Amino acid sequence: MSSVWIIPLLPFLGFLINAFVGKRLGKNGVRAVACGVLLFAFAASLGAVGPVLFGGSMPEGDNIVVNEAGHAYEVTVWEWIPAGERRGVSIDGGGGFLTELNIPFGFYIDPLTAVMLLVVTGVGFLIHLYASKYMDDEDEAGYARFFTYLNLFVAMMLILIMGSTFVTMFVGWEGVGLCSYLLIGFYYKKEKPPVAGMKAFLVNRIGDFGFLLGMLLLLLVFGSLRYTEVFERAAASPGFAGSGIALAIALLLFVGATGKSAQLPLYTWLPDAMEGPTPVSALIHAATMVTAGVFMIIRSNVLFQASVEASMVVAIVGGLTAFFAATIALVQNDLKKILAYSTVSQLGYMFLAVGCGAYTAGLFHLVTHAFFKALLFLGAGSVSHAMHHELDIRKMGGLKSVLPQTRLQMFIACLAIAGVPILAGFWSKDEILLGALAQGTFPGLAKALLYGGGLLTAVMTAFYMFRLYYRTFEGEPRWDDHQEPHEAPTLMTGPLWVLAGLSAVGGFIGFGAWTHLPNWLHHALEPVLHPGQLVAATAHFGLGTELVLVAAATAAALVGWFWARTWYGAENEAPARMARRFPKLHALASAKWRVDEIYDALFVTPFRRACEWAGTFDRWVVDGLVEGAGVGATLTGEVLRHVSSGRVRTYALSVFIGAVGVAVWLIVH
Amino acid sequence: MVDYTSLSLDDFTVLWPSIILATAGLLTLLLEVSRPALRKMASPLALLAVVLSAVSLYAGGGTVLSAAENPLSVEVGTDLLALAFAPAFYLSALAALLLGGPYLRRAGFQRAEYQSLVLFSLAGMVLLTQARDLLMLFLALETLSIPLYVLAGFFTDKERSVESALKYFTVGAFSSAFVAFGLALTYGATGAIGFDAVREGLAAVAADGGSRLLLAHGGLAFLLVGFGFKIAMVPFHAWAGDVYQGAPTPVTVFLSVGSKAAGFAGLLRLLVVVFPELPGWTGVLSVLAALTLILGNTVAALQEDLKRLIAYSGISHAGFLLMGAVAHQELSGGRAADLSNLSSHPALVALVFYLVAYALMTLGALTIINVVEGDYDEGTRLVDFAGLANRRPVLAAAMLLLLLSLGGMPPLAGFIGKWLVFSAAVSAGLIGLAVVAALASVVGFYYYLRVVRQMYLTPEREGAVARPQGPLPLRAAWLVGLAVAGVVAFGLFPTVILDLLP
Repeated sequence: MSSVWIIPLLPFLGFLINAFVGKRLGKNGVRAVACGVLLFAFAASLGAVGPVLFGGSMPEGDNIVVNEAGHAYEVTVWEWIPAGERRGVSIDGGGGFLTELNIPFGFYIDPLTAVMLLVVTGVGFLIHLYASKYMDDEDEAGYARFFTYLNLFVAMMLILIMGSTFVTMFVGWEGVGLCSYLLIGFYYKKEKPPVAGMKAFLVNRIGDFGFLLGMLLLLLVFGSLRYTEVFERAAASPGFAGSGIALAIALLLFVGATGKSAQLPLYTWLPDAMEGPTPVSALIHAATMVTAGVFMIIRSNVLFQASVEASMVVAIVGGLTAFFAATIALVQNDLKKILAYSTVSQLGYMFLAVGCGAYTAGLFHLVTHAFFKALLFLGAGSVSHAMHHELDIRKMGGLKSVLPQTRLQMFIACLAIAGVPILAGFWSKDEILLGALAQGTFPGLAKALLYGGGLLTAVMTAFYMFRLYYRTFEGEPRWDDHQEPHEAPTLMTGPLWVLAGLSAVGGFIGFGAWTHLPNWLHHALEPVLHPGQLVAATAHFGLGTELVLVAAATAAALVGWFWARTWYGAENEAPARMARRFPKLHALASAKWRVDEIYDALFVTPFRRACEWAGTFDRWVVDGLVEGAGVGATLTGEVLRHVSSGRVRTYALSVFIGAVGVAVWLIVH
Repeated sequence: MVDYTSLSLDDFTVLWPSIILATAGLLTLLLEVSRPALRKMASPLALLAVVLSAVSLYAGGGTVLSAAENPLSVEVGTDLLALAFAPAFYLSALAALLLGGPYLRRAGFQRAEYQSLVLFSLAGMVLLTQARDLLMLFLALETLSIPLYVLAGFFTDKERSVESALKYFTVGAFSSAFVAFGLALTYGATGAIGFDAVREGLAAVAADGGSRLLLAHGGLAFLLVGFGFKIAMVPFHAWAGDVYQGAPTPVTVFLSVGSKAAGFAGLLRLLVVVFPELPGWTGVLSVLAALTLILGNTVAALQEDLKRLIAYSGISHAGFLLMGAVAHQELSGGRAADLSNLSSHPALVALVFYLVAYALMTLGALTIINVVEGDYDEGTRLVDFAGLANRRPVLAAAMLLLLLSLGGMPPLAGFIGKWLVFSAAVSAGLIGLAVVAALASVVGFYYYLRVVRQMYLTPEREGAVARPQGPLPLRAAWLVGLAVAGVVAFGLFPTVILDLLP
C-alpha cells in the first residue's frame, strides 16, 4: 500500500480547516495549519520519491503498478470515468487501439514527478512561511481567506504534477487556474486586481480549449488517457511519428501550455497578475503554476518527439517569447512588472529547451528558476514591505544600507538568473543554449537563430536584472526619509536565505559535461525520456566546443551586468540619452509593444460586439421584422393589450421563421 | 374485442406514479376549500404524493401497459430512459414544493392550487417519458404544459409575473400546435401511432421515397419546433429569459429543470425510437445545436439578472444535449436504440449523465438565488450577490461549486457530463460541432465567473441588506446540500450513476 495520496490530501485538509474554522483559529492557528501541512507534505514527498530518485524499494500493493525498468510506479486510487468500449481511429492501417474501460484517478510517480514534487512542496513551504508574516497586515478573516486559497492552490498543483492521466492533470490544471484567479483578485477593494484575475482566467481558458481538444484526440487515437498506455502505444505505433495527427495533438497540447505558462501569444495575463499579493506572485506566477506547461511537454515528450514540426514550433515560440519579453523588461520601472516579464522570458527559455528536445535542460531551468525567481519575488516583497508598498524603482535607490540582508539576497538572485558562474542559472541556461545548437533534426538556420536569440536574451537578462538591482539598492536614495524603510523580520528573511543558498548551489544537480562531474539530474531523468527522434538526434560536442560555448554564455552575462553597472551603478546620463535618441522605440517598449491594446482591438472588442449583436438580434431585430410585416398583430390580438412589451409577437415570429427553416432544410435535403 | 374484464390491478402498475400524483392533486384542491386546520395538510400531502409516486415508478420497474389491454388503446411503459430522466422531474417538483411554501407565504399568496398544479404537471412529465404512442405523447405534453402556464403567472398581482405567464402561454400554445401538426403529419405518412409501428412505417417510407417522405420530414420538422420550444432551443428560445425571470423562483426551478428535462426526454425518445431510420436530419439538428450553443453562451454574458442568466445557461446546456442526440444517431447508424441495454449507446449514457448533472446544478443554483432573493427585495440581480462570500460564506462556497460545475470545471459532475458528451461526439466524427461546443464552453465560463467575481471579489454594497439576515432556511439548505453533494460525488464517482444503466 502506498500512501502518496496523502501528499495532495495534506494541503487539501489545510484548505478545509482554514476555510471552515480559520476565522476562529486566529492568525497563529492559521499560520500553523497552512505551513504545517506544507511541511508534512514535503516530508511525505521525500518518502514518495525515494524509490524513484534514490533507489529505495518500490511500494507494493494491489493498486500499484511498478514499471519494468523500475524507475516509476503508478498508484490507482479508484476507477474514475468510464470510457466505454470502442475502437480508436487507426493511425497505421491496423485495427486501432481498443478503448480502456476506465480513466482512473491515480498518481504516477517517476523521476519527473519526483523533482516537481520536491520543488512544489519545498519552495511552497518556504513561501508559505514567508507569507505567514508578510500577510500580517490583513485582518483575521482576510488572513484565513488568503491561506485557504493558497493551501488549495498547492493541493491542486500537486494533483497536476502527480496525476496518472491527462484528465487528472487537467483537474489540477483548472484548479490552479481558479486559485490563481481568486488570489490575483485578493485585494479586491482596489479596482485593478479583480479585473486582472478575470483576465488571467479567461486567457487561460483559451489555452484550456486546446488542451481539451488535444485530450479528445488522444482518446480517439489511443483509446486511453493514462500516461503509461498513451506513451507506450504512441512509441509502438510506427505510423504515428510524423503523421498529421501527431502534429495536431502536439500543437493542441502546446496551445494549452502557452496559456498556463504565459507564452506568446497568450502571455498578457501574467504581468497583470502582479496585482496579487507578492507571495502569490512568487509561488504561483514564478515557481510553480506557470511552469506547468513545461512540465506537460516533458511529460508528453513521446508525443512531441513524434512531430519535429510541432517541437520546432515550441522552440521558436519559446525563443521568441524569451526575447520579446526581455525587451519589455529592459524599460519597465515597476519592480514586480520587471520580474513578471523576466518570468515570461525565462519560461520562454524552458520552452526553447523542450522544443529542441533538451528536456533535461528544460526541467533543470525550471528548478533553478523556481529558486532564484521565488527569491527575487520575495525579495521584492521585502522591499515593498519596507517601502510601504512602493514598487517604483525610480523612487528607490541606496536601500543597501537599510536592507542589508535583502540586498545581499537579491544580489545572489541576480547573479543566478544572469547566469554568472557558478550559480544556479549559469548551469541551466548554459545547457539550454547548448541544447539549441545540438538538435540535429532542425535546419542549421533555425538552430543558429535559436542559439543567437538565446544568447542575446541572456545579455538582456543580465542587464535588466542588474538595472533593477542597482536602481533599487545602490546609488543615491530617491525616497522620502519619513518612509523609514526597515529590514524584514526573521520569519521573512529566513526562508530567503534558504532560497539564496539554493540559488547559489542549486545548479550542482546538473554539472555541464565539460566539468566531468556527475550530472545527477540528467541521470535521474533519463528513464523518463523516450529515445525518439529528437533525443536520438542530439549531438554531443567535444570539450573544446563546449568550453567555447560556456565562455560565450558567461561573456553574455558579464556584458549585461557591466553594462547595467555603468549605466545605473551611479547617476549616468546614458539611459536618458538613449531614450531620447530612439524615442519611439523606447515609448513602444515601455508600453509593452501595445500588445494589450492590439488584443483589445482584435479580440476583446469584437467579442463584446458579437455578444451585443447577438443580444440585439435576440431582442429587437426579429421584433422589427414583425412590426414591419404586421404579422403579429392579428396573431396575439386583444389578449395582449395590457402587456407592456410586444415581445410575444417576436417569439411567435421567430418560432415561425425557424419552423419554416427547419422544414425547408429537411425537405430539400 | 379484447376482454377487459380479465384486466387486474397489476396491469395498471405502470400508471400508479401518475395516478398517485393526480389523486393527490385533486385532494389538495379539495383541502383548499375545507377547514383551515385541514388546509395546512396540503403541503405535506403533496410532498408525500411525490415521494410515493417516485417509489411506485421505481418499484414498478420495466412494466408496460400495452395498447391491447385497455379501452383507450394507448400504450405506456416504463423503460430505462424513463427511469433515467424521472429523477430530474421529481427533484425539481420537490424543490418547487419545498421552496414554494415559504415563497408564497412571503408574497402573501398561500394557496393550495400551487401544490396541485405542480402535481398535475409532474404527472404529465412522468407520462411523457412513459408514452409509447403519438397520442399519449401529446396528451402528456399538454398535461405537463398547461399547469405550468398558470404557475408562471401565479402572482396575479405582479405585472411581470402575469406578463411572463401570458407570453409563455401564447408561445406555448403556438408550439403545442406545432407538435400536434407534426404528429398528424407523421401519422399521415405512416398510418400508425404506436412508436414501433411508426418507426417501421418510416423505414418503409424512407425506402420508398415520394410524397410520403415529404410528409414524414414535415412531421419531424414540426415536432422539432414544438419540442425545441420546450427545451429552449435556438431559435425557439426567446421566451426563456423573460419567463424564468418573471415566474416565482420556485416555479423557475420547476421550469428550468423539470420542464426542460421532460421536453428533452420527449424529443430524445422521438429521435432514438421513432425517427432513427428516417435519414437526413442530423445536419439540421447539428446546425441548431451549434446555434443554440453559440447564442446561449454569448447572450448569457450580457445578463444582469441571475434568473435570466440561468435561462441562457440553460439554453447553452440544451445545445450540449442536442449535440449528444446527434452523436447518438451517428453512432447507432440509424438503427433504433435498444433501451434495455444502454451500454452499447455511449451517447445516451452521456446524455443521461449530463441531464442529471444539469438538474442538480441548476436546481442548486436557483435555490441559492431564491435565498438571496429573500435577503433583499427582488434580489436576483447580479449586484445583489456582491459580497455574498462575507455575508453567507457557506452559501457562497456552494454557489461557487455549482457555477464551476455548470462551467465544466473538473472534477465536478458538470465536467464529466461535458466530457462524456464530447467524447461521444468526437467518436461519432462530429469534430466541427465538438469544436464549436468546446469554444462555446470556453467563452461560457465568462458569465459564470462574473457571478463568482460578485460573490468573492466585490465588496458588499453599503446598506444593501434590506431585510435582517436570518439563518439559512432549512429547506433551502437541504436542497443546496443535496445539489452540492451530488455535483461533487457524481463528479468524483460518476460510475455511481453510470452503473445504474446496465
